[in-house]
Amino acid sequence: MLTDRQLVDLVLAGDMHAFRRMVEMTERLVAQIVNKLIQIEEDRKDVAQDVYLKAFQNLKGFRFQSKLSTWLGQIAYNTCLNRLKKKQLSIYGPLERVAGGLEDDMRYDHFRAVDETDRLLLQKELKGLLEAEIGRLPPIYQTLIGLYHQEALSYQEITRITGLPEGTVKSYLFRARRELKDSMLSRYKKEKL
Amino acid sequence: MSGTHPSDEVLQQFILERAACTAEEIIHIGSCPDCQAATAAYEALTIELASRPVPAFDFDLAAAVIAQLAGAAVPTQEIPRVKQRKAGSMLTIVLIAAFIGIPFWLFRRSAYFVFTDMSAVFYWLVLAASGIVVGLFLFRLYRKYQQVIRLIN
Repeated sequence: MLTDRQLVDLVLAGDMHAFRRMVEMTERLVAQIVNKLIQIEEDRKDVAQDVYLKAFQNLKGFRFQSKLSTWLGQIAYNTCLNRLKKKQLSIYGPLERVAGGLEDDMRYDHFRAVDETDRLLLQKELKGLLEAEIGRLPPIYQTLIGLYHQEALSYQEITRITGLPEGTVKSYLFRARRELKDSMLSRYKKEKL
Repeated sequence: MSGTHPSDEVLQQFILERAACTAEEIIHIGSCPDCQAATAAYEALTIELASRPVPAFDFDLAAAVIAQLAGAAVPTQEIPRVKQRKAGSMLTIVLIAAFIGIPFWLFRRSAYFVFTDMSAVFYWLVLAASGIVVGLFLFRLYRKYQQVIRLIN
């Protein structure tokens, strides 16, 4: 397993196999950012390629102050922002609030069930609802959810990638999770009734 | 949640970073059925969020980028664009300098009298105009800030 420094040195020496490896090692994170921020599917291919072309051109300037993947994530995020700016789109879409809130004592009825079978059934139903609800979140919330929960990045790494203050990252993640929980419970209730 | 229960933020923290919770919060959540149900909801959510399918590109990204690099399309596209932008900025600066500098240089002998003969009204007008421009600029910035905050909330 090559370290970031070894990989970068090989790429700088003109080893295109190393470059391919670099792309393959980091494209999951880049896809996480590009696919969430860029809603137009045709644009994603362009943006993703643009990210690695920029990285290739600026690799000499990479100072190893962060992980290579974090640096590429930063390029991906900024490239997406520039693309959205050109198209006059925002990463802060409106946050659709849950219609018809639930009474506090009704909200968690399903989670009071301790039976393991019930819990498994609930997990299965949640899975179906979750994707739809995540799709309704603003792109920036979707991106942060992906980076934190799927890529298991730390707040510091997310801060470095997005340039957002740590407090803002935490606050957005908190709101996104609360929104998801509320909307899923609401939909779950409606479907049960 | 009622006033005595920990906030949603604390409930999330209980699931994700329990060490950051206070002992009182942990004890309360451990003994309160409502809070346990709420944390169970968050726990189920975080498990689901972590186990979602990972996004991926539906094409060979590495091959596409390498093909572009091999075609050397990158430097020929990027560098002239930057150079053009730089040349444009330089030309603008030169034009502005010429527009202000040439008349000033031509009428430099009488320039002093231009300002000494001005009335106080003129100075106040210049000051007011500058104030309005700065004020409008700040107002625009504030509106933009408000817009972003509204969208976030």
